[in-house]
Amino acid sequence: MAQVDIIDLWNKGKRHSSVEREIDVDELITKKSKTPLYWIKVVLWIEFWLNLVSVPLTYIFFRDDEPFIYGVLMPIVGLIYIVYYQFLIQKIKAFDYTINVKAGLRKLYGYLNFFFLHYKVLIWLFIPLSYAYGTYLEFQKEPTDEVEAKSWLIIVAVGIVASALISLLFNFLVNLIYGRKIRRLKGIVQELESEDKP
Amino acid sequence: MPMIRHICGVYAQNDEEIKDFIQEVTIQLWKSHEKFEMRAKVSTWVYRVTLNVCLAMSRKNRKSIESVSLDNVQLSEDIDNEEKEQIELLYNAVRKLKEADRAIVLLYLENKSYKEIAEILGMTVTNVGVKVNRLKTQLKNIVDGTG
Repeated sequence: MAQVDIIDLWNKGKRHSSVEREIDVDELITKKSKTPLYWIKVVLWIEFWLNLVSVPLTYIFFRDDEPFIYGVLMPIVGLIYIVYYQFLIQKIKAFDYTINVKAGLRKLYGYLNFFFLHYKVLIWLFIPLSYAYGTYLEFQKEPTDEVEAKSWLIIVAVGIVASALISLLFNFLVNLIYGRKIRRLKGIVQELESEDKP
Repeated sequence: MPMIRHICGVYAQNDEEIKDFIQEVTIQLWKSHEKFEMRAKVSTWVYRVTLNVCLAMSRKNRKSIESVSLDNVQLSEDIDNEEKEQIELLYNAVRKLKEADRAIVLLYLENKSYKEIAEILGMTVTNVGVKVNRLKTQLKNIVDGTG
């Protein structure tokens, strides 16, 4: 068999393959980007604006209630999140397709995965701890000898179930909003990294 | 545009994805045009952005990649059946390569010099040479039916 010229074969296939059909550029530029990064950025923007609105509202509504915990701490946490969202949004915006996309994606995945995991930690630690703290405060208010041990047991049991259900619900929402996108990004990064292996 | 369309066609798995890829390349070219330095050739920059977008967007399951078939495509009269089969084998083999290898092969098949490939992909010329030789042999064996 004669030596195959793969460049020649490639060019012959190129002229006749289906990808050569006309594409409507006008139609293309009216569509939205479909990368996982684009959609993560959209969700981050939504969270950013929600926080921006909620920070002054939490301050107004809770400033006279429990001054330190609600009136001050919650707006501060909100402000930290606003900065954090902006940090991530700017990182995604700055992603540059003209440089080493592998290193860039790996770095971005690191930031976004940390963000995703921090939600998981908050959900599975913060919600049960909040409940435990709330119960502890109630214990403090009422002298234990006046309260039936049985009713406290019920309160604790119901609270554990309720906080587990709330955690599960939030976990589901975080997975729904970020999970698939982050996993897709992880898949891309892993695939690109596998190229480095012999 | 034909070059972009062709590269996207090799990375995408179906017609709808080709359109998505081309659209993303167009957006990224537009967004990054200010970063383009006249020291490099325009084509080098376009290739780089196109390949990077394809790498960043391509879906990962190589096993599920649709095979290229030229059955419904009108071929010119100078292509016989054996050659048609070889073209299909070549296209399918390229589509099944690892993403980074595919980028190197694509540029080689587009007749880019080792120096240009190195510049586009940010590799050394020596590394490009080694990889191109390995991949070229691999593809030739597949097309010849010996691989």
